[in-house]
Amino acid sequence: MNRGLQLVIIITTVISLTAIVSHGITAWLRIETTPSGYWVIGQGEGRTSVFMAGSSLAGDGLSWGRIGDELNLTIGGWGIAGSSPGEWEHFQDSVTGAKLMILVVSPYDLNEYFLSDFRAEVVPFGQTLKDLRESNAEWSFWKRVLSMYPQNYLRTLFPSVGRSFGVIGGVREKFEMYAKTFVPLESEAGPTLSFSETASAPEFKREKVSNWSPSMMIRRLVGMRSASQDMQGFNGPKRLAFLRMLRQAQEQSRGVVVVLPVSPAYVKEFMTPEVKHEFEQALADVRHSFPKVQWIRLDQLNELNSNEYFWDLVHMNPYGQKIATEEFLRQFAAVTSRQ
Amino acid sequence: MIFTSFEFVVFFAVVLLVRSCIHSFTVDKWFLLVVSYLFYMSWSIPYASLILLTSTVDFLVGVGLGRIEDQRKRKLLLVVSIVANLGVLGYFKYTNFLLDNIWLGVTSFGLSASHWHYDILLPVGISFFTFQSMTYTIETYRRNIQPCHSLRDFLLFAAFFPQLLAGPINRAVNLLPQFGQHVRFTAIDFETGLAQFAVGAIKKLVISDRIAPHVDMIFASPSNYDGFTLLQGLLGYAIQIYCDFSGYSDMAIGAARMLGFRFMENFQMPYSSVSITEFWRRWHISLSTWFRDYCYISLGGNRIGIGRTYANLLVTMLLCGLWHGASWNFVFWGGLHGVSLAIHRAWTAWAPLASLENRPAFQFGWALFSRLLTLGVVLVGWLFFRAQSWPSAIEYLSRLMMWNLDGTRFVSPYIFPSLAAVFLTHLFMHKDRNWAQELPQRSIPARVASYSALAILIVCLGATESAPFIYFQF
Repeated sequence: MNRGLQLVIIITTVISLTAIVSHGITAWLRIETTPSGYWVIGQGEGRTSVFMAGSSLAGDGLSWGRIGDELNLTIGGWGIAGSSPGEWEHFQDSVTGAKLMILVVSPYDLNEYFLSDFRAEVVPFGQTLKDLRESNAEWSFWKRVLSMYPQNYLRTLFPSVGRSFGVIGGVREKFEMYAKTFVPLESEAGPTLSFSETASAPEFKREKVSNWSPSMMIRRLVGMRSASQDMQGFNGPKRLAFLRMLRQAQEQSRGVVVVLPVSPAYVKEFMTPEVKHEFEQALADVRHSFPKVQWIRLDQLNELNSNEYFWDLVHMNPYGQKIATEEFLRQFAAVTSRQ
Repeated sequence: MIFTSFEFVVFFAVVLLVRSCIHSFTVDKWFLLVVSYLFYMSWSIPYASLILLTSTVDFLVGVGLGRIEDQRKRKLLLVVSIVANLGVLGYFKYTNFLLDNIWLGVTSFGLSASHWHYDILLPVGISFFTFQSMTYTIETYRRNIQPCHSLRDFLLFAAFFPQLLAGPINRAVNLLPQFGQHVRFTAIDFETGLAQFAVGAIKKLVISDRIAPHVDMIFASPSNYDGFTLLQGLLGYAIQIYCDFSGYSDMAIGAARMLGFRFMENFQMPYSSVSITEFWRRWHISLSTWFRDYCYISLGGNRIGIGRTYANLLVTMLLCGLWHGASWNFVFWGGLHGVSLAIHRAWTAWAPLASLENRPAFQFGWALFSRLLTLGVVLVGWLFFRAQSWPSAIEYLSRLMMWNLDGTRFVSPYIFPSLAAVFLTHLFMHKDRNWAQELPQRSIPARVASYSALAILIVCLGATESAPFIYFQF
């Protein structure tokens, strides 16, 4: 057999074997490979229909079941792990008959440099190009965002591409499970997302950042820093999508923006005075553009300013969720009564 | 555009595809020249003119050296080439270093002086392409090669994209003749190159990029950590820089091989060395041999007496340190290696333990001790190489030596597995063999199994947002 034919056979076999292993590993480790699932809470007669847009932070930060019951709402939305307004806006059109739109954001969600793993699958390429051009993004950011599109095609064959943290974290979990020393490492295994009516949170979501060892804290901070390439910015494609969502909300229904807090450990490490200022400035600009939109600033709640209320650097645990939900209901009632 | 980016994969695929359609040798070389400049322009458009300028000067000097017989004029021409290359390098790389030190010197005598500092952006790869270009003029001057009469071939030699940004620093005597013969890539070349490229990608994406954030964090504030963490950070950096740079070199050599060209090897299991002399025969081979051939030997080498030999070693290594960067940390790093090389040379000449060399127990113990001592010197060197400043390096070293327990202990989940992987590779692989280049000679099942393992490692554990290579800053 000549060398050329040998090479063709070898490359085809290698690609096939690698694809099988890649699919097998993602299935075995239950790594999220699909972007979204529609969820709905509080269905029933006579309830007001609400579209909720938010990431996993929204799922963990507020008890949507309780909110639905207490305010007599049917709340629905699409869950996309690690998502932000850039992804949410593409589901906004699918919602019909919603009387209210609740957008849940945080300094983590709005940081332009945190990119959702599923961005390329949800956001059309043309929209991405337009947003990058309009936001005068740096060339390195262009490259980073655009490279997600070929990666997305590659994932059809090799779903584990770009999900190495999920693979490494998942393998660790498996080993620890077999060794009967299972310590949940959910956030290391990749982003997860759950919206449910029941209040029962899995064990790992009951942890407290305040109980972390210094080594664990460092590891998580380093992971977070790598994910954002150690950059913080609030003026880019996410902001443009956020503005478009609010414009549509203002035209079609009523809009409420909820700003969730992140843990003090995150604030200390990433939210320098300049970053804080930039974040507040970005929110103020949005607020100025859409004065009719109501705002609920849970990030300004002193009670939540403790690592006790977070199970990781940005997600609230049930203890934090309880405080945040109560405050949300109180402020929501106040907003409604003012109208 | 770095080798581990999607852009490069697309760029390289297009180059391969277009080249396979080109049948004219002349068109092929023009095509490679144009894509090489386009590759560099993806980093910086204005600085592409810098490569053009230095290459054109060296080409003209080469033509002159071929025509002129008068030794004095030939020497003058060589000086023109060296001044042009080192002048460009010096301006971009050392101007501010020089100004800072002049200012520091003047003010330390109590005199007042303006502190001048210019915003000079270092062109990527400048230390590499200037050194590579100089190999041509020096070798032509020494009459080891014939002058090149094709400007296109010479420009291609200086700017050939696989080696343009961070080497290997190919010798004109090896690479230039390859542009004179019609090189077509063959299946075996392609396979060998692809295997070496994949090995390099694993070193970079699976090891170096994984441990880099943890190493960076430890080096950013050594006073926060205990001795164990600092040792971990130092070992991590040794692994990171090895996998980063040798990974880059493997990818460069692999990419060139896929195109049908052969580059010199740049790394050969350096951490398995039993002496610092051997380390420099295995680490960044293209640079160490450059300094040996064009600096150490030009200074007289070991031909002018023992004292001068040691002085030459020291000067060569100090310059090698300075080549890496305009900072006293690099100079110290070079000096440390220079002194170590001199000590090793003196020890070898003295040979006080020669009578014990035939005893097996001594051989084993001595080999182990030599390895550890070599690694120790290399690690201390890396500390100064990596530290952000001189005080930071001293603080790191003192806390490490005193094994401080009062800082935070951080256990990286990536550094120790990476260390184990590199250690086992160095332990079990023959240090003079190139595994990637031997693979294509094996049976089909063995190749399928090996390549699948490489591909699975990349698609399951590889970082997709790769950091720039460390040596791009040099």
